[in-house]
Amino acid sequence: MQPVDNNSFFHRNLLWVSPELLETIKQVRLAVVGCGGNGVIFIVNAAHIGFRNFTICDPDILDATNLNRYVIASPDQVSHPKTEIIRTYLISRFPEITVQAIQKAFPNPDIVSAISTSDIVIGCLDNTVPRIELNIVSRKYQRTLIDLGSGFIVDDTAGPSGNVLAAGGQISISRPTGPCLRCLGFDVEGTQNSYFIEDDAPDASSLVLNNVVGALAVEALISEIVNELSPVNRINYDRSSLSITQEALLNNPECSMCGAESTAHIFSIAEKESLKAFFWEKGIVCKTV
Amino acid sequence: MQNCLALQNEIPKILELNTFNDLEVILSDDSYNPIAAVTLFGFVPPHCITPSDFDVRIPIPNLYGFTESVTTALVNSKLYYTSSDEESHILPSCHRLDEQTIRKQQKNFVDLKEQHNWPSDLHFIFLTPFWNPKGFIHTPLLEFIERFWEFLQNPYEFLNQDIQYCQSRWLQTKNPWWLKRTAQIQMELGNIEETRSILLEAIKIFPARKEFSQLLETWAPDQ
Repeated sequence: MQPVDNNSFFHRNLLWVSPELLETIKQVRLAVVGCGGNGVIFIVNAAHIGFRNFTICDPDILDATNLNRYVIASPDQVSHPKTEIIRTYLISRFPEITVQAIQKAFPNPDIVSAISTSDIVIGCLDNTVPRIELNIVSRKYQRTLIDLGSGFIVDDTAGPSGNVLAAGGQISISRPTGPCLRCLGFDVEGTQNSYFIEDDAPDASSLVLNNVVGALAVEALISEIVNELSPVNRINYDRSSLSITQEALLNNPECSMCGAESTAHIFSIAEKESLKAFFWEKGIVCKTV
Repeated sequence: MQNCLALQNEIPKILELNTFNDLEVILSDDSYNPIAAVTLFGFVPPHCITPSDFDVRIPIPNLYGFTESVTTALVNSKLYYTSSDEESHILPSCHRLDEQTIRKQQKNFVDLKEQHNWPSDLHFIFLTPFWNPKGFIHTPLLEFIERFWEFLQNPYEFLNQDIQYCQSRWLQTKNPWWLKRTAQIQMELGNIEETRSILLEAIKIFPARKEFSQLLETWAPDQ
């Protein structure tokens, strides 16, 4: 197959993107943490717009139940690492692209190192705890985090295919000097430490919802690059009303992640050796598990 | 991902307490969560608690100092409370640390992930986390130990106050967790009707959240 030259590929994009912006976009180094439904759609959209520098991170292999939204994968790629499927797709389609694939779960030193050398961090994680951790690391390295989330709330008490009570998604933009994810509405209150029965059932998902949120996140990313989005830091999509709303939220000045005294706390993560030395000096006994 | 600065500031302050004999910091292999737990050896509880001394292991949660504070104490013995009428009861909220709880909480506590040889008589006591109305404000380790002591002094009064607190949080935030916690405390206090009524209310308000109906189904009030 004959490779398509860049002029032809970008011809229609260049009717609305300036050559200067396209050049900037090509240089931006993106660290995408999480390659599930939102992650893969985000990456595919971003690459088609012109982003050419990706680090993609996810520990998982493709499951047959992912195929309803992993449009770039074929059934024979089930059981292959998601990062490898995406890398193979990107390289076959965009020969000049740079893709570093890290098949590991966050937090991990390799991913942290990739974040430290990226320009913008894209968070596509499912759970609150690693999302907050990604925000802490992004803030430590002064990187903007664009966090994607989507989902359904389904009442399945009446049967396996339940009523959709609510559905939609959100894009949260945590800038190094702006609010953290918690101040942007991530509710971690009471999610942990309970000995109650937890619901481990798989979540409802849809390619269409991933498409809306993933594509909207690329628009938000471009606006962020040209600095047109600030002070907006949260974009909400409501599936029932098909509406998109924007918010400019403020931080809590006392927040330990983004408040007045947060920097020293953020920089103290992973300081095991200095902590040990400090306790040693104070005569406090330390032992390993 | 623990806040090491908070831990560095707080742990030495615990040494100023006179309720235990010795303190040990248990380090983990996880570089992002370097402290698995803090153990207080020979903890002397209020007189109403039996046994008269025991060890307290306090697991440090993974987001300690950022979005989590300490909420749980592990004790190496089942604890009993003797009320003013000299009747002795199992301390409410004191439960055996079973395999299921360990498995479920491993993602939140590095201590539960790394430690594998737990003694069979280990029990845990979970206290409602304190939330500042302005949002999450970290509650230091020292305050947890003081709260733990307060709980041991009069557990029934403490839990009744907690119910009021949880109800006010529920009204303010509409976060279902506070309804769960209220039901949980009512269970601890043996208030069968109150527990059932909260769970039924929760099922009505949150039909998509299975934990309430599962809890009602699996709950055995007479056990």
